[in-house]
Amino acid sequence: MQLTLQEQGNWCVVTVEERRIDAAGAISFKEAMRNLTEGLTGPVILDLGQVDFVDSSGLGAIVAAMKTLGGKRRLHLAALTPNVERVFSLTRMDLVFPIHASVAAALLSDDS
Amino acid sequence: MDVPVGYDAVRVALLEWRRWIEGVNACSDLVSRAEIVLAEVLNNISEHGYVGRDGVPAPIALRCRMSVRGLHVMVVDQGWPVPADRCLAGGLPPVSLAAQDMDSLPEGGFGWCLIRELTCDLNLVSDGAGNRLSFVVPLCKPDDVADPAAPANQARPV
Repeated sequence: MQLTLQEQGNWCVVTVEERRIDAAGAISFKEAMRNLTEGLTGPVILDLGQVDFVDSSGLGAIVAAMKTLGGKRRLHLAALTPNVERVFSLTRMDLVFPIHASVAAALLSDDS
Repeated sequence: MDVPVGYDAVRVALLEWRRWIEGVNACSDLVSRAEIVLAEVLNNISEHGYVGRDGVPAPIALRCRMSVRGLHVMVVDQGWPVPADRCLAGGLPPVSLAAQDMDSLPEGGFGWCLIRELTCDLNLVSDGAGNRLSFVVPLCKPDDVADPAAPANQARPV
């Protein structure tokens, strides 16, 4: 699973460079997220702009990634494509994650 | 089509399925909804270590056809019976929105919820021959229809 990390001020922006986070890629996504965010203390934005498919295993992996951040840190999600947004809203996980229209919008948000 | 068991095989099968459905003039929103449902159904079967009852790996049979109501799907496996009552009814896993409860957030249990939300006529028959799951993924709402030649009355969700 190809993820890239960029630090922007206080924020860490993780971009998923894949089309799918599905059952076949869920474990690899979790591991890559853990490796990238280990030791980081700032709030994290997950840029999903290139992802056009997330299934329930992928959703579970994104929930697990937020838990890995530890404490009360939320994982911010940005740039959800329509079918990915649908999975979050049907499972009510859109109430758990702060969701932003774009990375730029997420960077302007209040992380609280 | 026959789908081999396993997450990687399911991913390959879904890509092949997309090529099929893109050739039958389905609206893109139906394709997106159906792909979620098919992924959940096929991965569920893979996740539960499905092999045929004689212990020999057997493929999952996936049959799809379009009608005026939507995409009709039948998925047949030869595994042991699954608990139909639990699959066909039930709710979302409990979620607490309090920040201190983050560790208790569910990481699974979403699959059947998505299937139930996105289908109609969902039916599961488990018997001596295996499991036969059938459902319809309804057509798009009229204003979502990609094919302008399709009559509006065929495009209403059921």
